[in-house]
Amino acid sequence: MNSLPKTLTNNIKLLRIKLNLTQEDLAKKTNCSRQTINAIEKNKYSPSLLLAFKISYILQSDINEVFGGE
Amino acid sequence: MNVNYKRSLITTCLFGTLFFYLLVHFAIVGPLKFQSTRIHMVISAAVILAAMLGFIIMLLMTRKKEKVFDERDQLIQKQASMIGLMLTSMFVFVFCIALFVNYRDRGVIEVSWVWLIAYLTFAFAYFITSLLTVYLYKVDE
Repeated sequence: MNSLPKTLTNNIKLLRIKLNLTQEDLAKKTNCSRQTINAIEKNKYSPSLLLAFKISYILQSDINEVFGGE
Repeated sequence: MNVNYKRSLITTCLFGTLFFYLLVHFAIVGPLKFQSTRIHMVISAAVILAAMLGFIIMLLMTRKKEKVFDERDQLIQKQASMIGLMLTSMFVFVFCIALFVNYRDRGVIEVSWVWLIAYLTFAFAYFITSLLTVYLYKVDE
């Protein structure tokens, strides 16, 4: 059995670049600030489940592809 | 720079200046002469008015800017307010206890101390809450 994750990681930057989106674009589409997207990308802020789903939807990916734990 | 961050930064400067001005002014003049002469009253009133006007002008100037207040801003403001309230309570408590210990034997204190506590509490609450907000934004960057 895998051990429980201790920290939240994400692939937002990778997926965002794939879709040719800037932090500003993603922020506008998810109705939050660019600073918040930056903080999430750097794993300095853990988003709410709602914001996580919004980000996944905009990045056209499953939430498990966008967010993970290690 | 986020509008909320900018507002907090300006509030920190305004109320930090007011807080330290009141402390230094009181320390120089002393509790007996403080607010007893017209000139001291006018200077103090002018500084308080300047801080308040600065705060109102800042609110008006940043009102029309595009403002996104998201969940991270809410969380930062909530944390800053909580810690700010705790620190302000501690500040007032320690200040009053210090006065009690110092003036216990005399049984009376100069009325200017009450004026100082009132204005310092007000300035400290705004100063510490906005300073914490700035700090929490900086940590997340």
